[in-house]
Amino acid sequence: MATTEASSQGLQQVLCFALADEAYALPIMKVREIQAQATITRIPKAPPYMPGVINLRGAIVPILELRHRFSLGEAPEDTRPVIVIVEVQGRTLGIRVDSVSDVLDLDPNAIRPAPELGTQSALGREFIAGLAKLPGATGDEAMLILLDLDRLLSDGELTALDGAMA
Amino acid sequence: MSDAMAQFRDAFFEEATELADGMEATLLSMDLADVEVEDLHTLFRAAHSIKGNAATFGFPEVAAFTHKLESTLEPVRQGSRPMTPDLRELLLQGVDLIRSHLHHARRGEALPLKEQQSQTVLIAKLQEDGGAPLSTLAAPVTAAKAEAPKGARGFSIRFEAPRDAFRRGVNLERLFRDLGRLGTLQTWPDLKRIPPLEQLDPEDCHLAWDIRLETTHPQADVDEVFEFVAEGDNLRIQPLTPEGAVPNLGEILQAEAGVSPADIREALSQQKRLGELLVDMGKVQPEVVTKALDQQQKKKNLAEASTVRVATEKIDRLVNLVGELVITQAMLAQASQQSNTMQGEEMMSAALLQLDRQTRELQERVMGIRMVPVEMVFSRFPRMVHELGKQLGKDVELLMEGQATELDKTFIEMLVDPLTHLVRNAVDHGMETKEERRMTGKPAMGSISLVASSRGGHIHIEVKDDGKGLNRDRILRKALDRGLIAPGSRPSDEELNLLIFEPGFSTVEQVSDLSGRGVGMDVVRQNVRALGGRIEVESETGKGTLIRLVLPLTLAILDGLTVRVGDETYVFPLASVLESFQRQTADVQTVKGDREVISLRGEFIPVVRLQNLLAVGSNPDASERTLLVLVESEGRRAAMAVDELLGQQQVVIKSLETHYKRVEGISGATILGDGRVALILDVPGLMRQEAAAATVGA
Repeated sequence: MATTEASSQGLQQVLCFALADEAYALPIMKVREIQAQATITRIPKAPPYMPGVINLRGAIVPILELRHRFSLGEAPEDTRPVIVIVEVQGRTLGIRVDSVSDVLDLDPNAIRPAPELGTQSALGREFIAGLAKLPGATGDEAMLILLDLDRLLSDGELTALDGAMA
Repeated sequence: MSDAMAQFRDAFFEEATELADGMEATLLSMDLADVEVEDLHTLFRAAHSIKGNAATFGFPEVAAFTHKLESTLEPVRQGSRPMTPDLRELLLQGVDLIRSHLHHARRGEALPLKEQQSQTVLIAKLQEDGGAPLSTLAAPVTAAKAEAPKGARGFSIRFEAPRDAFRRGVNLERLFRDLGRLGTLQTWPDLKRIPPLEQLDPEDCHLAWDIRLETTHPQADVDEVFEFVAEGDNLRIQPLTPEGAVPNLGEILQAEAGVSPADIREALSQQKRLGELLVDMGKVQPEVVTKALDQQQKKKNLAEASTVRVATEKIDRLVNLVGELVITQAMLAQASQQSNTMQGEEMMSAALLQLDRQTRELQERVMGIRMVPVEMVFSRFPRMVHELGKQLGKDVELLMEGQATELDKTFIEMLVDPLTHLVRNAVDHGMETKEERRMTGKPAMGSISLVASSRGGHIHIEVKDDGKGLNRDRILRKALDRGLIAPGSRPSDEELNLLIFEPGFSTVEQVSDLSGRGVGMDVVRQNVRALGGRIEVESETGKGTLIRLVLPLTLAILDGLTVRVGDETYVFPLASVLESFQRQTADVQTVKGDREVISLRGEFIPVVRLQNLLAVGSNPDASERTLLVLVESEGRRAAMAVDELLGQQQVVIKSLETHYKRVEGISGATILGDGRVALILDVPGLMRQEAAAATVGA
């Protein structure tokens, strides 16, 4: 299950973020920056999980609404969403999440494959690179869900984008 | 090959293509009755440079052929051979062949057989046209530069003896003896051309040879040997692969194992291309292979087209400007440290002012890099008009003005096709025949002018002819036939003129004397529209037609009208906005239940509810939008309902497609002063969408 982005100590650095009270993580190598506030300009007839674009220092970058993607419902009023800018397959893309917590070093050996999930789960097993126990946590067995960005985006969004490019 | 070498090769191809273009331009502009010696020198120098460079960079075939042209030009330059119209035609063909050589050499391909044949024919013609055989005339020249194309070490010759060789008493044996004196000779007779015994005429000669000659003599000496037996295409002489370069497998087999070239050719002809093999194996459909080949071709073309040559001066200015910016940045840093003092504040505002000026200048200059003179497109037309005139038997002169006008490089590329169609149509259909012109009292020489000019933020490119003009009665009748206009309506002259750009008008059968202007006219419209420009047509019966392409200065900046629809801000390209007015003052009527039209000066114009069409915004479009923006595209109008007009401003166009995708009804995006993204509306696209929605709704 070890992925290629292991640091020299054999540890994998990940960026942790929250989405509907769950902790998720992305390999740090995919993350370009984090944007606190940005006004989203809505795109006509765009799917709800990719509602619009933002201005990233002059580049027009689409936003992926992860809550919609995973059918987690609207964010509560009091959250101030954060946009994580990632680079996937040569494209720049913003992922909107509830909040970003910190950067962790994970021991690749501590990452376990995802268990079988029920079919009703929108977050299919294929998007999960693995599960990890939150290190140094208060011992309440909090789990960290490691996302596989490439697969998440190859599942429709990027292919839709590529199709439109032809 | 190292990268540096590849780079030099690219430079060679660009330079050689430019030189060939230069040769063509010189040939076309020279006055045959009074030839300027300087022009001849220019031609000669160009041919000489191409030859020299080609040999240096390892393209012996290009070098060898250019050498032929050079040798033809030498006596002309010395004044011993007149420059005739025929010779000019031949030289023009020669320039075409150079281009074709360069084109194929760049892709690492050999010259196609067909062109090799026309090359042989052309060389033969160039020689006979001078009256005296070229080889004797060229002798002093070759003595002066006795080296064969650099690196070449001999020739591979295919010689098919003339059929009447025996009857003419040609001594073929001596021919080989002479050839043997030039160097080491290897020959393979090819007996495959001998017919079966019952059909054989013993007095006919059916012999052919493949010859490999290793020699340091120039090709002219070899040509001389074959002087009396060469008949156009029965002799093919190709230089062997130069020293140092890797020879073909076939060449090695010939030299080392004595395999006959005829056998190698046969083997090669049985060898199939990868695509054919796959089709045979049933792995892919033939169409798939064709498509893939197309794609490959396109990629090759793209790779070639992606460089710009920039004047050093432009770059120097940029470097200076960046230097100034660095200073300004230092000033700002210093000012921010003392921002609480009066002095610091003053310094800050001065620096900001400077930054503002420098940023604007930097923007202009960087845009300027993309600007190239319109000459790049215009330069191809003298030749084209010349050829067309000759083909059609019309005397046409081409006048060009404003070649130095600068245009965005993308425009230049996209203008090539439209202008080619316009010029071709002007010569072919707009211009009368010589007889017709004489009868109507016009000068026999027709004239076509191409004028580029820069006018108030737009570039105008005009194609004007002094031909017979458009036949509007015909256009009207045809438009009625095709249902392009409603029966009974009275379109204006201008509207009728523009109908020639309708796709239906172009490809289908030509009405014989409808000035025919149809072929490819919709290409013109498409490309001009894609560039955000418009077309204007002026035509006067019997006097001629003028087609004007009005283009924005650059694709990167647009004059826009910003409007608010719901919570979103959109930008209309100002070029498509006619006027805007309050909804209350307009005469709005409802048709078919929910569609609205307004009646404006006797014309019914559909009202487009932008918010519905774009399907964005939280509140549905129940409220009455207070403002209507009247837009026009392709002669159709629509009133777009918006909430508020925010202002008119220049916007920098950003691509949505870089990270997202194309969106229907949206042509791009821009960034507003407050950092938000605003979408730029694609007016023609919106109208098509609306029309489609209306049909579905009806």
